[in-house]
This record gives sequence, C-alpha cells and structure tokens, in this order.
Amino acid sequence: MQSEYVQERLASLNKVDDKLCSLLKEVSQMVYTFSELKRGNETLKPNFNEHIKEFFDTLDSATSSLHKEIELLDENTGTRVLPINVNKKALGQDTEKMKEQMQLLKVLLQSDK
Amino acid sequence: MSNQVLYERLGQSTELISTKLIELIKYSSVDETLEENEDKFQENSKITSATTSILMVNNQTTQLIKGIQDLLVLSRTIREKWLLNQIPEETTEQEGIDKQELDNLKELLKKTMNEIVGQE
Amino acid sequence: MSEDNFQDIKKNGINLALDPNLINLPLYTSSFSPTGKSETFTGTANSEEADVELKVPLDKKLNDANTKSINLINNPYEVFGKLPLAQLIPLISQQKGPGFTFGNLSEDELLREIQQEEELEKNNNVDELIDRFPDSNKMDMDILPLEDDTAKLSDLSTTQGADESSMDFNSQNHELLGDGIIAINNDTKEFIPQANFEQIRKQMIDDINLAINESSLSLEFVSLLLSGAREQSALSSMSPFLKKTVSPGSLNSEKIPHETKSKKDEQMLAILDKGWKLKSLDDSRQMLKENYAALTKTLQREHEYWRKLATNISNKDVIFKLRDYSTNQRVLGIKYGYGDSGSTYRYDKGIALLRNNVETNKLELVPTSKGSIEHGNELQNYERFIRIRIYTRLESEDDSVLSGESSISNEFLNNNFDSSEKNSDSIRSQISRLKAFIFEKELMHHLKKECSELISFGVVVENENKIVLELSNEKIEIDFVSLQDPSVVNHEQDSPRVNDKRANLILVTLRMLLVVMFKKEIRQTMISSKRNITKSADEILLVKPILGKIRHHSYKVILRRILKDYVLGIIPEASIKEEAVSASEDVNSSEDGRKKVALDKHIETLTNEIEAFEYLLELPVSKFDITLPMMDNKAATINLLLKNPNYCNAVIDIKYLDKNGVTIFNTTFTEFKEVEEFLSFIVSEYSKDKSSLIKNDDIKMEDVN
Repeated sequence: MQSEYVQERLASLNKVDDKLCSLLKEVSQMVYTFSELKRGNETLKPNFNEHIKEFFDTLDSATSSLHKEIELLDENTGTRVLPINVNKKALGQDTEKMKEQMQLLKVLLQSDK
Repeated sequence: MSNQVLYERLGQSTELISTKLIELIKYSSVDETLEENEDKFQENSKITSATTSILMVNNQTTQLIKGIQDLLVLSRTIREKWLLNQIPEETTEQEGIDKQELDNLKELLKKTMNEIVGQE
Repeated sequence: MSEDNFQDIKKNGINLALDPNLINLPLYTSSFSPTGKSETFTGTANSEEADVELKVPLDKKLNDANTKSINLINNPYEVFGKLPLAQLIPLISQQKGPGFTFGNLSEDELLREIQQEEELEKNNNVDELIDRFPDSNKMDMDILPLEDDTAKLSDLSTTQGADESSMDFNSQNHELLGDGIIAINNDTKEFIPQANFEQIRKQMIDDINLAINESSLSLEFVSLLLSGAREQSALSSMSPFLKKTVSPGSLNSEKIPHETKSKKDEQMLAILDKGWKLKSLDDSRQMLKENYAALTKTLQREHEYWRKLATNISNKDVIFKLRDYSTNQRVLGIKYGYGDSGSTYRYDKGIALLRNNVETNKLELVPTSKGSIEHGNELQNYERFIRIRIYTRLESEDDSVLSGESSISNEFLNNNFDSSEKNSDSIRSQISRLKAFIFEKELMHHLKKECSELISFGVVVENENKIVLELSNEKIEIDFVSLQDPSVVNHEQDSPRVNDKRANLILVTLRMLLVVMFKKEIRQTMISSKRNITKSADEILLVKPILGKIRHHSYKVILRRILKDYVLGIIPEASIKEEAVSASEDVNSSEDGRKKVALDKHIETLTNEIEAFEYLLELPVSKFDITLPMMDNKAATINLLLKNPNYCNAVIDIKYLDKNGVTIFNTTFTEFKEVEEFLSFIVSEYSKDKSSLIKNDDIKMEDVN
C-alpha cells in the first residue's frame, strides 16, 4: 500500500487526466457546432458559446491543477521523494524468509504428525 | 526531469492548445461579409482553398491533440516521480529478528535436530 | 546715402576692417568634414541642417557665428536662410495668409509688394522699428516666434534701403540689416561663404553619386532582364560583377494579362471554398472524436494500472523502469530476488515485469530469466520446488519404502485456473510466489554444489534435479520437481506418512541454513566490502550440518556398541558417561573479547542472528568417559572424543589415563575397526595392571601374615 498522501496525489492526477481528455471532447463538439453554424443553422449559437466557455474553463482548471501538483512535488522533493533516480536495494528479504520459516518450524514442531 | 522543466512544459503546452484552437477557427472562416481585415483569407483558386482546408485539419487539429497529449505526458511524469522515487519509510521492523525470538529459535533448532536425528 | 553705401558694398564687397563680424572669419581648411562643419573660433557655425538650398549671404553666416557669442546682432535671416525649403514654404504661406499658394509666387508680384510696403512704412518712426526688434539683445539664439519673424521679414524688405540711415541706434545692425537682403531677387549678387560652398558641393557630389548608383542598379536590372531575350546586348551592358554572380537569362518578366474572374467564377470559387472548409471542419471533428475515444480508453487502462500499482506496491518494493524486449515498450519492473539480501546467485536476476494483461484485466508479473520466457517448457522449468523424500530401508527385502515426504507449501499451489480469485489476482501473492521459486532454485543450486564434494559420505548427485543421501537404514532424496510433475499432482491424495514430519523439518532447516548463508554474505560485505560471489563447496553449509548430526548420532551408536562390547562386556564394573560437547564452551573467553568491539547496529543484528544457528553449524563433538575402577578408589579412565571435523567424517581421540592420572596412551583414529582393536588392547592393559596390583596386594597380605 502506498501511503495516503501518495494515493491522494495519484487520485488528483487522475482527475487532471480525465479533464484533459474531456477537452478533446469539448473541442470536437465545438467544431461540430461551429460547422453547423456556418451552414446557417443559427439555433446552435448558444451551444457554441457554451462549449467554448466550457473548454476554456476546463483547460484552465486542468492547468492550474497541474501547476499545483508540480508545486507539491517540488515541496516534497526533500522529504518524500528523491530528486534523482537512484537504484534502490531490496533489503530485508532474508529476514522475511527467516521469519517465514521459523513460523513453519513452530507449526511443525507443535503438531504431532 | 527537474521541476523547472515541468513548469515550462506546462506553460508551453497550454499556450499551444489555446492558440491552435483559435487558429482553427480563424482558418475556417468563410464569411464573406467580414470586412477587409487581415483575417479574411482570399482564395484565388481551387487548389488554395483545398490546401488551406487540409492544412487546417491536419495542422491545427493534430497540434491541438498533441498539446493535450503533452499535458498528459506531463501528468504521467509526475506520477512516475511519485511512485518510483520514494524514500522508503524507516520502520523498526527492519531491525531483524529480536533477541527473544532468537533464543526461541535456538530452542526450536535443538528440538528440530533431535527430531531429525532421533529416530535413528 | 544709404543707397550709395549699398552700391558700394555691391561693388566692393564688405570693408573688412570695419565689419566686426569679420573677426570671426572661419578658417578655410581644404578638407571638409563629412558633416559639412568647418572649424570656427566659436565652433558653432554650420551645425544646423545640412540641406541649405538657398544661397546665403556671407554676412548672414558671419552673423551666425558672431551672435552666438556677442549677441548684439539678431538677424532673423540667418534662421530663415538656413531653413530648408520644406520648412520655409509653409512659413511663407502662413505669412502671406490664406488663399495663397507658393506656386503663385512670382518675381513681379514680390517687387510690387515690396514697393507697396515701402510707401506704407515711409512715414513710420524709427522707434517702431526698434520696437519691432525687442529681442535683439537676447542671449539665446532660439528660433524667434513666427509672427515676429514674419513681420520682421516683411518690414525689413520694405525698409531695406530707405531706413538704413535712420537706424542709428546700432550701426552694426543697420549695416547688417541692410546687407541682409534675401536672395530671392535674382539681380542681387549672391555671396556664398566658402564653408557653405564646400558643403553644398559635397552635397551635390553625394547626390550625384547616389544618382549614379541608382541608375547603375536600374541598368543592371534592365540588362539582366534583357539577357533573357537578347543576350549579346545584355552582356555588353552588364557589369563584370553581375556577369560573374548571376547567369544570364535568370531574370525574366512576363506580362500576365489580368484576368478578372467572372462573377460566376467567383461565385463558384466561393462555394467551393465554403464546401472545402465545411468538409475540413467535419474531418477535424471526426479526428478529434476518434482521438478522444482512443485516448479515453488508453487513459482508463493506465489509470487501472496505476491504481493497482498504488494499492499493491508498498514503499519498500523496488520498482524501476525497464525496457521490455519482447514488446519493445517501456514497462515497470520489480525486483523480487534476494540479490540485495545476500544472495550470490547469478543465474537469475530476480526481476519481473509488471505487465498489464489486457484480456484478463489483471496485473501480472512476468519474470525475466536468461532468455525469453515462453509458455510451456520454460514455465515448467521455472516453477520447480524442492521436495524431500525419506525412504526407510527394509532389511528383509533389501529395498526401501517411501516412508515420508515433505509437503508442498501453499504458495506453490497457485493454479491459474483456481476459482479463488484472491490468490492469483493480487500482486503480493504473485510476488511472494516468485520469491519462493527463486529461493528454491537457488537452494537446489547450492545443494548440488555442496554435495559434489560429499561423495565419500554417501551423497550422490544423480542428475541435475536429484540428490540422494545414503544412510545406514535410510535413504533421503532431495528432488527439484516441477509443479506439473505427476507425483506432485497426486500427492494431495496420499495419506500422511510416518516420516512426513521429519522430511518437512529437514526442508525447513535447509531453507533456514540458506538464509544464514545470505546473512553471512551481507555481514561480509558490510565489514570488508568484498564480495565472494562464487562459494566453494566448503563454504556452503546446507546439507553438511544436518548430515553431520545424523552421522554423528550413528557414530555414537556404533561407539556405544563398541564400548559395550569391548569394555563393559569384559569389565563389568566400568561405567560410561557420555556427554555432548558444545563448542561454545571453549570459546567463552574469546567471546568476551569479541563483544568488546563496537559494531554497527546492523552488523550486530546479523551476528546475533547467525549465532542463533550455532548449534546447527557447529561441529558435533561428543565425549565418552569410561571409568575403570582399580583398587583404592582410584580409577583409570579412558577418554574418547568423537569429532566430526568435516561434519560427516569421524575422528576419535582416545586417551588412556592410569590410576594416577598419567596419560599412558593418546591416539587418534578414524576407523572403527582400529578403535575396537585399541580398546581391547587398553582393556587388556588395564586387566594386566589390575591383576598385577591385586597380586601385589596379595603378596603384601601374605607378608603380613
């Protein structure tokens, strides 16, 4: 399990991703309404405005969230996150195994097969 | 990748997206009632109109998409940084097997050997 | 009089001695500075605009130089004279008033005007004139206000000759004012100062040069154009430089008739244009939509992946980026092997890829071993584990029966088709499974290596997956079986056997001993930073401790029998005491010494853990003390020390001390036959001693009698 904090961060990044993806949808809708407008179909004008507004809103919020994330990453660079790529070593495996086998041993010796 | 670079990329991509969108709309203007301002693109032949339109589609749209993809890549970079570069927490479990357990272990081992050997 | 004066001046020029302005005659240098400045005493003379288009009287120039320092003279002409035509014209237009265009200016008209004004002003006072020059004593030479100047201009032109004599307030002024006739008049002689002249000349030269340049450029252009049509005439007119740089005929011009499109055409174009634009908008929308769909799908997958990662991988797992060679993509990998925890196994890196399995929508770990992983054989080879079987020998049939088998730990029993989703799904279980497998693999590897040296003790490596230990009444088999082996598959149905427990215990002990090896390796690395990657067979202590203890036990049994037969049988009074000697007692003194050394916390922990296995790892030693009673409560003792220096061999020290504690014999044997013989020898010796002692006693007693 990752710590709570990290999970939070990942969740917010997820949201950002979703927003970014929806941007595409917005644009496609916008283009559609735009072309409809050009064909003379004036009824979709408010829709068009709405789409544009939504697009820029979403873009704005997505970028500001990303900005915040980068800030947080910056903050935590000294404490939770290493600033560079370091090869971590998997220690403690041996003790783990030992404990495991000890457990087995206990069980075995206690049972009277 | 340092955080400065991330900031820059963020700015660039955002700009890219918004400008490309605007350009897309501009290029596709067909309204003849537009005044003689710079925004009106004169089409003098079939070729130019075709080319402009295709250009618009391929260029603007793909760049728009690319801008968004860039932002997504940015978010993934941040994710990777979080997950891969973590400093492992210091726990006391890593101390190994404590003294009492060790003594216990000694006993267990004696018993074990007796078992293994004893049936001889 | 004034007119005469004027005529004189016209004829003779200015009387140099009398004219104060001439004090400031500029020095005539042969070379003009580029800006047209000539050196003057005051150094200010010609710093105004370069373009002087009107011919300027000499006096005016001198005035200029003069007034800046003396400021007695205030001549508006110098300002106006220097003004370029472009500025002068508006001034004049302003002066003349509205409705006047410069083009209408003609000589005759001006003459008429002058005459008119002369008559007007004839009766004016000198004072008025003085009033009109209020600022003659001003220090600064800024451009005078326009109205004043224009007034002065008109006034001065009228009062030129007539009022000269009446302007006596300042003789210098008068003279100069009189002299400062504007040179619009053709008849007046035009005095041009040398400096001006030079400047004008320079200007002219520059202009001409410019003109030459421009015209030659045009000529080049035309000849280049021509070269396309008539080469000869063009070549003759082109400059050599152009001939060299540009090939003839490379410039062409055509006259394209301007086709105005018909309305119909234009309309059609417009329609076409609109059509294209609409179509492209639609295309764009299509593209965006497709991309959006694809992107959402990808995003979903990715989010799942990351979520699973986040929930399953803890802080301590070592994850890093890899490049998957089979799909040539970049993936995340996890290190599950024991490599960082003391293992020196080179044949398997212990890295697995965290791949997203699209079909099953689960996260799976794919271990990378040397070479690519394929299904089928490879997988079978990978999923192997160790199983211990004990066969009890049947004396009668000279055959052995399977009397015990170690069980398979639950982790191995991980069927992919198992209905219990929890086991196969979670990453943690996959990780632990892989860990177990690689551990078993390494264990087998070390076992094989170790047992290669133990052949003299009944240990046979039958094939790469099987080791057999032969004991007196048992056979222990160590198998490295795969999960798909039929014997394994059917094992579940077998009933538990007698020696199952023992088999299990042996397996567990083996595993623990491997961990001890790891810990030793870590400690070694921490202390000396030297890694001993290949272990020689001597250093591997897996089978040896266990086998050693077993063999030691059997040796003890043999010895007991021997002692019973050869000592007790003959000397019933003897008593045998048996004792196990633990090596730690001997090392007591040195242990204290060891503890005094300050060690790193981790090294200490490791040392403690390793010490816990002392009992297993020490060489088994047993002591037998046999007391052979003699007379007088004294006894001879036989001390036997059974050692296994190599865990599996037997070395027997025999010491024989007589009743006085004097060591008579002290030898070492490795063969039991020899032990038997020696013991019988000692017994006979003892009996001889005893009988001789008894004899002595008897003799003594006889003596007493």
